[in-house]
Amino acid sequence: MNVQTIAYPKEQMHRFVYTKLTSDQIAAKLAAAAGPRSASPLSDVFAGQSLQIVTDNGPTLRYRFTGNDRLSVAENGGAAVNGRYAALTLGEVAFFTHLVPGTQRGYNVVVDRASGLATVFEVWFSGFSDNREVQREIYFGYVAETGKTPPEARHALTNRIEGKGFYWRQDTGVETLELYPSTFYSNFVELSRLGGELGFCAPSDYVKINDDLYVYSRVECEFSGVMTFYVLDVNRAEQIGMRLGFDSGDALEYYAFTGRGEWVGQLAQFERFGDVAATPMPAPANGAPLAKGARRVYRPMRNNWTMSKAEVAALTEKNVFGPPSPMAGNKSPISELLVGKELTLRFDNGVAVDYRFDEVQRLRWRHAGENTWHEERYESWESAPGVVMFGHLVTGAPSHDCYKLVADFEHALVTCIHGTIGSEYIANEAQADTWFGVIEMEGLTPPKYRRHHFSDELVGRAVTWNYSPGLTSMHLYTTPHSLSWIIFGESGAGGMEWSGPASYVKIRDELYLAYWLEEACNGTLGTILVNLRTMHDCGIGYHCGRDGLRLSAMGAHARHAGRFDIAKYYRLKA
Amino acid sequence: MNGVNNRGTRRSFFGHAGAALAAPLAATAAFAGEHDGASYILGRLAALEDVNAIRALQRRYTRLVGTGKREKIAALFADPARTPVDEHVRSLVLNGDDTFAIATDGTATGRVPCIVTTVTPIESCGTLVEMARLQGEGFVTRSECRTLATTFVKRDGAWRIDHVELGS
Repeated sequence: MNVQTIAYPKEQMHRFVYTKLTSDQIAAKLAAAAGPRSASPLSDVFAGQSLQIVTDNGPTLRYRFTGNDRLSVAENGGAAVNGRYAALTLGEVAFFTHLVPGTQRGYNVVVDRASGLATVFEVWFSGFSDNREVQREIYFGYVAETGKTPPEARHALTNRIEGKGFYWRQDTGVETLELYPSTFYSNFVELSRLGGELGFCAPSDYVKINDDLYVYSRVECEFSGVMTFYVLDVNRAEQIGMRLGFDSGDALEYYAFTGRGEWVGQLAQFERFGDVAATPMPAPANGAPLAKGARRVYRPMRNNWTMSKAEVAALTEKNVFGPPSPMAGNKSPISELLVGKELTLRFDNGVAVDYRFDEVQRLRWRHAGENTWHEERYESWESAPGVVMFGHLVTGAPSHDCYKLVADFEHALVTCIHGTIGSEYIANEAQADTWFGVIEMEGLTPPKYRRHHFSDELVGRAVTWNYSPGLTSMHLYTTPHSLSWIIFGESGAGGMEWSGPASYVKIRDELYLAYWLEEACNGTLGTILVNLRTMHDCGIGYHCGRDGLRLSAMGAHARHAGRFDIAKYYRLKA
Repeated sequence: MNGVNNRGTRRSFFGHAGAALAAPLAATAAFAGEHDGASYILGRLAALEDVNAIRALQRRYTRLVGTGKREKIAALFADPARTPVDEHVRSLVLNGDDTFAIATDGTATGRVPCIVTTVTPIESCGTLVEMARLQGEGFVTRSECRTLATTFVKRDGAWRIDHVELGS
């Protein structure tokens, strides 16, 4: 009997190997499709009507709707073709979606019946090396009416929805968290499809209809390539939309949906006051128009950074707290608190490590029972009184191991992030374990039961980190097990995003140890001790690449950027 | 801004620049004892014309810096091969009184305060910089007050830049 209530995937999206569908395979799958499905009753708002939509720099579309699921469409005065469609309404907005039979193209059309304005997303497959990735081009226009002067206004890309976040439950039962911390990317957490362990990022579009209503779309680039598109009412937390693409089993998903949800918060925006512009794709320098469908997409696995096991095994080059990188431009001063101390860190997993801190950047360690001491270079920072973060390589360990430790001498507690190089997927990708334990040294009596512990207190928070001039990002702690980082644009608008598995440990009130793994990205294990009182972190980067093994200091100044009230969605319930 | 600078620069010529000119001109034999004569006036006029030509040359240079028009910049130099290339400098705006000293051997020097804006790529250090570059960021923009020191040479009756240096 299967009693499991959460559907965890066998492989998370960033690990799943999606089939490289050919254009012919996609054409065949589309030809076999009957049209968009819908769990909710379709709207008959267009049934029996004709509609001509004129777009700027785009197609003119002439529609005849012969029922609530059949239409004919003529593009740019061409011959009309018959197809199936699905329409839904949300207040004054009507939305319909259809494919153009015999092609791999289609349209998502949003009509604002109050203003007569229309936004058209042309969508298509086989427009990129990864054929399954849905492409899109956005056109703004209006519904042409005989004898009526065309409106001058248009819907437009916007930053007015930047920073918002919603919980959604579709009429299909699918539940998601969708967060918009950027002007051209977004985060989504598949609560019901994938169990809500990790948040992911996708290039996204945001179109303003009015202050209440917006169009949102994303394409899960570098994953399934599926497009999710909807109109949302930010006041009422309602949505109508569609989903198009091929799932992990390569089955066509093409359906319209309605949804209701909850507004979960609003992050800060960092553009100048008065700046309500979007962040459009930059035009080519030569004055040529942008390629159809052009968008900014982060594709980290196409950078040829992965190494073979043999290459990793052969690595000899090590850079341990070498010259500071731009990630350490605002690092904290090095602490001398450890110098001269002799102690043992005893962890609950049975590992015990003796330490002798001989100098401010030189220590010796040995595992309990060993006779030989190992000398390492280390750096340490005192983030809060009596709390020191330090890290070092574990020379001789089998996987280029490192220890990143936070020792709280006032409470005799320690937590270790044990980093290793090599996952079951990529040989030079870092992995991490978290060990909890105590400090044994003269003058300290460690607790028997109390430990640092995993925490969801950071979940939903967004914090900006300025590492050095010109290098600022924002962390969004999306789930108890993942973290997203957002790059700001020149205007201060949120831009490119990516995410990775993460973990959060509470050290003290307002003091958290966080790590994130840049899995299927560049393989780094980043570890920071976040002090929300000083708004400063200290941290250690751990990376294995062709230039060697690197353990490096990090340090940045923080600003609060707001918080989504989302931790409740991750808690296990009866 | 420019208008203010222009007014300041003109005044400086009769004040600061005049003083700078005095020594080399006074050493010119042709002018000795002829301060009231025609040759003095002609010499003085020639010096003024030299200063104006040098100042115009310097302004052309500062306007072109950061535009990427290397051929046009090179055309201002006596030896185009010595044209400095600092790809980080995005603009150079004159910001104070200039002084020039014109020697009798067909060379001159000039100094003028300026505001230099540089745009320097952040050293690659991981994902953040890589992503920032993908969206056209990943640079440090810095503006600072410096001094533009220039040497000039006169070739075939026309002034050219011999060397430029941005001092602190």
